[in-house]
Amino acid sequence: MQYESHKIKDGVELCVIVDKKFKTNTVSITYIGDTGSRAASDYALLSGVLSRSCRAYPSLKQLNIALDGLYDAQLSADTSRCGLSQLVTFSIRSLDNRYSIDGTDITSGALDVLYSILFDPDVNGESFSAEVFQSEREQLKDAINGIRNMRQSYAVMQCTKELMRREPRFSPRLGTVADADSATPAEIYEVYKNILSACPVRICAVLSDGADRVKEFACKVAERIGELKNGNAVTPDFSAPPKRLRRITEDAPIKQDVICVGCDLDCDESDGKEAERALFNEIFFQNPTSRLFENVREKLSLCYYVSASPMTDLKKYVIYAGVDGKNAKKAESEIRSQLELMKRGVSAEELKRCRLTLKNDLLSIKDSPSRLSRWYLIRALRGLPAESVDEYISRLDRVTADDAARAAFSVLPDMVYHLKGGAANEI
Amino acid sequence: MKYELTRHVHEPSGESYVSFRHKSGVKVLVSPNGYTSACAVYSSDFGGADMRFSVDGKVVETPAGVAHFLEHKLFETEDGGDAFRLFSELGADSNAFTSHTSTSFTFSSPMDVFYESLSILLHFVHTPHFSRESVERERGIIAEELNMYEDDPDSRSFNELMKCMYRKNGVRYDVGGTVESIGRITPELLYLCHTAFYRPENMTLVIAGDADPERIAGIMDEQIPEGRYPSVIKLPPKEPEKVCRRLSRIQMDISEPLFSFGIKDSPSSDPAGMRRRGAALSILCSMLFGASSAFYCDCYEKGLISGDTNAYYNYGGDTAYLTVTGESRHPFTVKKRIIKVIEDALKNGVDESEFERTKKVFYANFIYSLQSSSSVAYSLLSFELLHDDMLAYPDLLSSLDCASALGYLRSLYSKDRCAFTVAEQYKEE
Repeated sequence: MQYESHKIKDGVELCVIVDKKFKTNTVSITYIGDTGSRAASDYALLSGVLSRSCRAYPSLKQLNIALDGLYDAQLSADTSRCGLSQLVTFSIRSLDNRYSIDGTDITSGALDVLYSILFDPDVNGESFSAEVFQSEREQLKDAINGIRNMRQSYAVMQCTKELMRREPRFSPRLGTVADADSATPAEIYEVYKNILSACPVRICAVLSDGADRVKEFACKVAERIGELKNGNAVTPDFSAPPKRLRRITEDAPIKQDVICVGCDLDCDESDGKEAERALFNEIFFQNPTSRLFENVREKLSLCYYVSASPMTDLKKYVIYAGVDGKNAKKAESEIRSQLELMKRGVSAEELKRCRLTLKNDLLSIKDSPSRLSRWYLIRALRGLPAESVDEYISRLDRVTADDAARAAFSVLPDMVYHLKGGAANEI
Repeated sequence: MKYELTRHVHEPSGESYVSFRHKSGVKVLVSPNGYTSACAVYSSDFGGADMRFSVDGKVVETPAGVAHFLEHKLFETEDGGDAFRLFSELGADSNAFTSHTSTSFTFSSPMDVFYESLSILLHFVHTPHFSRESVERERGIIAEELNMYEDDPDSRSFNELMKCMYRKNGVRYDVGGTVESIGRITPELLYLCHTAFYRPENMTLVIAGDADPERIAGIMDEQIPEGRYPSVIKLPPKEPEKVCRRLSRIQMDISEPLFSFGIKDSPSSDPAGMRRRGAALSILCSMLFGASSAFYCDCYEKGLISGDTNAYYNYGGDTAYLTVTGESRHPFTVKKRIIKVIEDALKNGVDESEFERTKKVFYANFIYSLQSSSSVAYSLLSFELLHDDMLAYPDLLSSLDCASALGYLRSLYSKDRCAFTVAEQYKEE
């Protein structure tokens, strides 16, 4: 596997990973955007509108037919968040040319589509088409409302919103329905012009072959982008939790309750303690023999799933489980008790076991183009060194049982969010 | 190597695997690749739908959810511990899953601990330990799993479609059963089903990674017990051709209605025929309802559907069906459009060049599915469970034509084989 990174110009960085074992070539372009709820919904609208058509393929059908012809090249446009910064990513994954059975140059064709989508959109003067915009707005509102259908994600999102209550720059990934409703096609076109002229860009390519072609592509992209400054994601400051645990309950007509213990996380991403935190997480919730799994699920039979969502970029940590309503208190108490027990120490045996599993999981990143791409992107966005997976793994060897246990002290419970079911039984 | 290896190759892509039948009766498939992690999947031909069978001539009927319960309980080891811990001690990652037709146990690990992990896998699957207390404990965990799926709109909607399409077949029940049905599962029943369905001749082992077939066979010699296994015959109920109900509406806490349209097929017992029919109908289904279809693009642009639709033909066990599913505020309008698309295709034919283009998409998806050890292993297994050769699939695709695909659709489609379900937003009285 070969890794190289290039600064194409100020604000435009390229990383290229080449490994012959991959059957695909994936190129992604990520813009590091603004913070806040309006930015989140604006970017979500923009990604929907841009990936819907372009001048070369003026309808969804024409675009999808073109992608089919490139051996089902997968175009995606999505938004995400790193710290408080909203990100917009456009990417294309296609088969390597060695799999073309009719001589189609799949890789070049895929890069052309990506370029057209980004830099040659179908516009009416200084605005996107009102019809396309309206349709994408409805899709976005459905997606925002649809988060409720995924009970765990919804509960974790609600808990995170509460944990971030004092941070006005925080927004859920897709923003809000109200923000989506207030946007216009002309405003979103302005947002488009703004990301091209002002937002730092990271281009990441995970390839089977053809690094030179991607470097040319990156230069072509840079020509269309304004004079930028380098930039990383914006992160919030740590805020200590209040002394008294807050409780929030939301009723829903569902069968199973979801209980979330929301915590503040006293850490700094650049403190060099990533490996310690990773091992703490593995022992606490991630491993199939983790403390939470073995105690909350296996010993007490309180749930089917119990897990956690560490958000070091937000300095928050949410522990959650799906439980029968009558066991909610017991589950919450056991989760908090297991967190306290972590502070008392970790055995050498569980450290060894969890370190091995974690190492092997990390090694498997090298088999996955999407995980590899994300590995380097996230490190770059967080201002961390472009460390390889192998280099990171060697750091895990230096973590002691005391280090892993000490990481538990940085997880400070702030609140309990309870998505409370019950009414579904009457349906 | 004391076993004769059959080599399977797809020259254009360079993909290959070998297969052999171990002396115990287990079918083994090994696909080498250059990935860092290797993956093994050990699968029993026993799934959620297998609820009626005979063991040495004696008919057994089980409550729904036994295969899934067994999957959970097999991880328990002799000393009351669990196999997860054993895998974890080696740094391997293990899991299991149950479908209506099979139960599979899997692990992923680097090659340096692969053979030890394989020993653990084979050992725990063939060494059941079910105490009354541990079965009771597991019942609580599984009940929570079932409750979780009860709140999942996609799962509820799919289960409802199966209930509408099938009158008797076990696919009409959730793979995991119900809180009531799992209440009737005992350690004795679990032992009986284990003896009946985890006999070696009913098992398939698939490995994706640079493993040596001879060494694999040696581990199987050590871990798979010899013995007299009972004669087992599955006794699936005779299923009528028509659907059980043509329409069903359920209510739940969702943001937007979900629709599921299905056409029930009658699978033939000829694997080669089903292979051809399955592939042709899958292509046609994608062409008519997939992301590039006029149906999808028009519905999307008009706001009739949200997000993606899923459209595929599925077969396996004693069932086969075509489904189109998605989200819509106007599910009954979408249903009318689905039926019109099918009837127009049958009346006027379809564009052959579109069919050829969709074949290219299917070929690409075949290659995409070989991008990691675990996806290679699951893909190999899914073909093997249908008595099919994964690497023959690209040639099968290129041999298909539009006219025969339409012929399959014509033989499949009739109104009394269609079912439609809608999961609607819960309304308080």
